[in-house]
Amino acid sequence: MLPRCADVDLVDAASEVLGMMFFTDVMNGNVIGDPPDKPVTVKVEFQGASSGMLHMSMPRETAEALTANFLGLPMGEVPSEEQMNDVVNELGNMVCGSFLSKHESEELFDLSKPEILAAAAELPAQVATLHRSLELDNGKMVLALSWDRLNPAA
Amino acid sequence: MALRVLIVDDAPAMRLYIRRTLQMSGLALSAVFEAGDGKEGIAVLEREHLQGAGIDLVFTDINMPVMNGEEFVTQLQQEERLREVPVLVISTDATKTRVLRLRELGARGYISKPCAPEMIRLKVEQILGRDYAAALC
Repeated sequence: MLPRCADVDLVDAASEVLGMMFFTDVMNGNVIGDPPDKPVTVKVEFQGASSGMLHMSMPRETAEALTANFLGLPMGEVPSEEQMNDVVNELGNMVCGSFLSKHESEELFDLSKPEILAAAAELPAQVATLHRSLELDNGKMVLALSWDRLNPAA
Repeated sequence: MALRVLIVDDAPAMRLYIRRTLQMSGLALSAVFEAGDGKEGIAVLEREHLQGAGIDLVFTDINMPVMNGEEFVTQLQQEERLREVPVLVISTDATKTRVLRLRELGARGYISKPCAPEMIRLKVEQILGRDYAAALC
């Protein structure tokens, strides 16, 4: 079962990370629309008082724009595949950690090493218990969270 | 006085972000070293110590392969010649339990990600004093 306000906190976590470190604003935190075609998707698993996983998925153009912002690349420079994957991994790590810190303020948690997914079978809509589509000022992004509270008293 | 800084993080993008933030923050830097995990970080600290220059401040992540941030801080505290080097942890895990544990292990400060560049400068000033901060020009 998802914790109270998980949907709001997940969007807040993404907004904070994107705004503070990627210089990107979330214009709308609950867009209805199709998932991105041929997305770049990162998966982060977590364990602690709760366990689960977060998928973040975005069009390649969005991933490239976020990478350029994070790394401070000169205007018009396209990041390499390696740079993009590294930055998208870091983005997934930060959003997941920020979300968990809002919910697990006393409990230790462990995050897995973020992983870029290639297989279409692992797209987030198929595993999510919470699903949010964000409209960014430079693209869009889908967040999908699955959550399993191991210790209901925690 | 210009700072010699070591950044320990397994993500090259995060190392670059911290390096760039430090360079843009107005802090006077004379050298910035990088390491991909705690073990590499110890090696850089020992090498620089032996060469006589030393390191003024270390930034470290927590989740890293080979030697994680907690093990790195613990190891530093066990090395008499290195234990005075201040360590600033920068991580996504901002739980109270984690922060308290890192302080007990010997970390001097903690920054939770996401973090604005101003926060990094503020923490450096808190730990090292304002004399290290140089005006932007």
